[in-house]
Amino acid sequence: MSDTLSLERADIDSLIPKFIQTNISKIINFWTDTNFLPFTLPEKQIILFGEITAEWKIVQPLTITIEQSDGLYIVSDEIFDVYGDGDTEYEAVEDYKISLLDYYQLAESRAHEDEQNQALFDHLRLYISRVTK
Amino acid sequence: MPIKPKELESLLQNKFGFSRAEKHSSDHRWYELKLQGLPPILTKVSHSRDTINPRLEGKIARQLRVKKPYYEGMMSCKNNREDYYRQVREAPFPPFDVRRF
Repeated sequence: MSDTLSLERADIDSLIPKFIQTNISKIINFWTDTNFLPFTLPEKQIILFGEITAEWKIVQPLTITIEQSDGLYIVSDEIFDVYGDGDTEYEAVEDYKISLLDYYQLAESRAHEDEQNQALFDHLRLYISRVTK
Repeated sequence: MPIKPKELESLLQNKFGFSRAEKHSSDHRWYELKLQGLPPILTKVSHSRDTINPRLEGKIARQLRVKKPYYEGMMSCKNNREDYYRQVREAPFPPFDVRRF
């Protein structure tokens, strides 16, 4: 008799619901204790595009990541490394937008100083523009 | 160990030579450092909590162009101003990549 337990895919599929059913209280306790929900991703991504305020718009899709840590929502991008945070997802996204525009305006005001500053501002202009009405 | 926003601001200015980036459009606190030949280093200090969330510190570390462990060394006595400037010039993270700028 073999010491190895052989399982077919069908066996595994049938065992998963039984495992969840018999361990549901442990799973919930684990989630409660660790704030980790194993069935959802720890972060999500959305794309900003179009008007973000009455005066500013995103002219090239900009992916932002939304994370939650210790009750704080954190929104960031990996192109400009700008972040925003807040008590709710909405607040964090709004804070991110303000921070991105801060970053743009700081880069804009320094663009004339040297070519590195100008390059940063030129890169931002590929994504951000004033709304013209 | 979590650090308070004011402590971070003090370290950025007094230990690493950052200056307050004056702005008028929002009440965010931005700090900047300009090293010859490099794009500006701009970082925002969040005041949303008494101490800075560890994950937010990771975001701030990226704005400072260093990895999180190096940032932690900056906040302690391990990495001084000269170390930091050398690190940013020789091995910035994320790099000042031509694809990014």
